[in-house]
Amino acid sequence: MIKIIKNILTFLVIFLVIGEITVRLKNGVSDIPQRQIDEFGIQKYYPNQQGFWRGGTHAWNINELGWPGYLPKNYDNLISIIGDSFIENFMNPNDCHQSVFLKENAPKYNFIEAGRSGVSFIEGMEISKQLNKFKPITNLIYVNDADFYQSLVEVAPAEDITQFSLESDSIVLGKMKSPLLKKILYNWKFAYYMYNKKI
Amino acid sequence: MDYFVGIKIDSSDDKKLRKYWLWGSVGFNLALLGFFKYYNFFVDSWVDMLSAIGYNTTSSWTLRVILPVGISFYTFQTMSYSFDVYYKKLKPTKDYLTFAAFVSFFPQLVAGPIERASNLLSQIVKKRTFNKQQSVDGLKLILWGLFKKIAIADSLSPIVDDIFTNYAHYPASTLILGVTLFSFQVYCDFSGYSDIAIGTAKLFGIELMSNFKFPQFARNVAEYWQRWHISLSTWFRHYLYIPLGGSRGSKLKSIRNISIIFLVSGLWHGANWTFVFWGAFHAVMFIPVFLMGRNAIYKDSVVAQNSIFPSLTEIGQLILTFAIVTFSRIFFRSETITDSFIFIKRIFTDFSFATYQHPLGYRMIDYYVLVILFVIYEYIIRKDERSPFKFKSKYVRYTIYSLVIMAMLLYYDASADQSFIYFQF
Repeated sequence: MIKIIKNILTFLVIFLVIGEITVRLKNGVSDIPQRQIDEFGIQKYYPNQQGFWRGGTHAWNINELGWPGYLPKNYDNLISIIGDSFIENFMNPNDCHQSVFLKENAPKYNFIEAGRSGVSFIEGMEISKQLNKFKPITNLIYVNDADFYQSLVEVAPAEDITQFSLESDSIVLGKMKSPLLKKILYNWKFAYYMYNKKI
Repeated sequence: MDYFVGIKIDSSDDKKLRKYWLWGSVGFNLALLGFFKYYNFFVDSWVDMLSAIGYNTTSSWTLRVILPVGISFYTFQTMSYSFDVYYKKLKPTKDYLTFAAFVSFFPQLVAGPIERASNLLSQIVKKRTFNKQQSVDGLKLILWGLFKKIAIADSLSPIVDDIFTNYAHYPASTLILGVTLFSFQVYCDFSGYSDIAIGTAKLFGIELMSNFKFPQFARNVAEYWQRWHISLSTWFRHYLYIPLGGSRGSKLKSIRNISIIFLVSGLWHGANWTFVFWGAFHAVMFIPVFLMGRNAIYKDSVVAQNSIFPSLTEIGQLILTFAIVTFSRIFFRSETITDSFIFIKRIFTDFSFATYQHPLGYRMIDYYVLVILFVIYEYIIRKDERSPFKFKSKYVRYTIYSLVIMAMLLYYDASADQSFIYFQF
């Protein structure tokens, strides 16, 4: 009996190691960039990260401002594009981001993106305040219907996004949700792969 | 039918009567097969022929019938029963349930191996007890079969389908890639099924015959046929080639017999001229080997029999045989014979190279690595097709089990989920 248990444990250890190696080699799961809350209470990514989208067909990168995609070559005639996962756009290569497309169609303008999945309308407004330091000629905030009511604590309370409280007439900053657990899960690729597969 | 025919043949000493019963059985089985599988093919071919000589006509004789799954396999299996009884290799069973179990033994019912009654029936009759080692061996074969099917055959399927469907838009390099990957797909799909069937039978204490012995390491076309779909090729040898005279008569007669075997083998696969051409092509490739007397020289050995690596000559032989077999698969995989010839023409007349992109957007390098590692691993285990994980060290075995399981998880794609290719036959 002890021999069987020892064999099972040995196999499990080998399986976990092989699982981790193979999932990393084949990019079985997307690399997930690590997030932080900056000094203004905005939840964004740690700057200068890189990783692969699932399958390893393209890489994403986080720029030095902590947002996905390229930074503009210069900041004249700047337009900011703020929004949720549609702007974040990890599923497409950097060359397929909105800023690249808009630059091609309107070459005399420059574009800067600030996207993060789950951003509410209020959070988009807060991000725009931060980007004002680059003196953009305008801020474009991409929103869906849900982003408006999800901006209100009293309507759709959510701890991890920045919202507005009608009762206290103030901004309620979002908090990181289980940061340690996420850090472990996203770095332990095999566990994250199994979690995604619902095995 | 064959159950009663078996009893009737055995109960008679009259040679003529025995032969009548045998032909009755063969005729009945072939009639069933012909009706379901070949009737429309011959009607359509007849109509096409009339059209070709100027009589434009449409067929009102074509039937809309569903081909029963695996009909070619169990028809041949029951025919082998009648033949074995006729040749007195086997005593017929008087128990109908035993006979029914032999015909419908579920692991190999739909895609073989096509068992001989002399092997399977005797095991069904015998009292069996649980054998741990046999069951463990069976589970290992099932795992290996699943790996071949899920990780390789099914994951290559979208690539092969894309290339063969859109061959008119791809350069020669992509067409060569497509047919090469199809070679691995069809091998892993079919041998994977056979391994699962053999492994499952082992769990019931039954040993089925081997159906594949690493055909990709064959050194000539004759050796390839000793290693590919063994249960069918030996069936044809025992019940068709040898009764026709085999290689006992003149060279010309032997060539005729070989040609018949390959044409029938092609037709067995399906009612389509593509399979007939595929069979004919193999006959053309086999006959020179036969005439040089090299058709049986590798019967009892494998490549690099007494060394780790193959010699340069052997490497050349492996590459040439693989190229011939892979080329023949253009006929096997194409929808129509016209498609086959256009496909071949494009390879030879439009030679250009372009990087191929996976139709679902995946990274192609992962598939190349998988196939190369698979070939290397099969080379390592090439001496024993029944023991894919025969390593003394348990750490090595556990590592390989883990790799195999992970490959299945990582390469499995629900959108590319495929039934077994040979189910259609």
